[in-house]
Amino acid sequence: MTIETKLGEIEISPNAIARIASQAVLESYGVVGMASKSFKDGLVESLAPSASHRGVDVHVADRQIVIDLYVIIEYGTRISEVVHNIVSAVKFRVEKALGASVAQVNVHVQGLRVSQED
Amino acid sequence: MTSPIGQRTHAQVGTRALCGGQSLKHALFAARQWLEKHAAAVNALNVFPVPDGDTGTNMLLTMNAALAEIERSPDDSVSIIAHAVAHGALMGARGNSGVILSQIFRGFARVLDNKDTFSAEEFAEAAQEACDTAYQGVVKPVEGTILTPSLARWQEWPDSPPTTLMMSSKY
Repeated sequence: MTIETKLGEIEISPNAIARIASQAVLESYGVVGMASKSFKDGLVESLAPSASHRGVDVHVADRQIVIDLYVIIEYGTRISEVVHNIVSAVKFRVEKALGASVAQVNVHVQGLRVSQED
Repeated sequence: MTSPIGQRTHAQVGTRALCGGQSLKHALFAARQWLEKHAAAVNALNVFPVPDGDTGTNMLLTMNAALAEIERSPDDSVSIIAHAVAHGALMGARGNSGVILSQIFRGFARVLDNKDTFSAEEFAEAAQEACDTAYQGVVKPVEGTILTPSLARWQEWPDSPPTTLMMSSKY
């Protein structure tokens, strides 16, 4: 992601964008963790909060930012609404920090955590 | 206290009153009215996570969905009423605050499972569980959201009457 100014260019790495996005995800209600992108032996492992940017994939092509998020959600919440809240929080936070618009935010629900069964 | 025949919503056991399903229902409808009155003020407070000023509206819509489940219910069991409200809030949750509200109702209903009535002590226990359930649903709880007011000092119940509790808590 490159932003041009009169004096030169500002380069923002996908990794930096992933950090911003993961912070917004972890503050979204209903998210109990982020997961790595690949399933290892069919197991979904929750990443430590400090490593949560690894659950984010950022692609920038033609100045278009596309963000993929791999999340674990609390069992017993309305998943569609939680995901909707994640998308708007991530879009808002990334756009605010970068001053550039985000074309897409895709959420992959990798698993659910059951804290208490009803 | 004498109640009309057929109503056992304020059954007296010893000196302590017990709350039944219909009383709980009336309390929830009163809460909705209170929320409706102050929805605009809550909207004005909304700055997180996206400052779009819709927290009051979202909570009211969630509350409406929750109460639609019990509007015509004649059930006098607090368990049935609380579970119906929790289900309605889950299905109709709107926004972060709505999802939090649905978790508050979920925790509340869990403690009242299979109970026809609750005492002040049981209410305090249910309210505490509601708060704990709400806090479990997020990695980084942010204070100042609707999570915070659920942290009222439930452990002081039932020795301090509700009015004292409401006045002394910050919210």
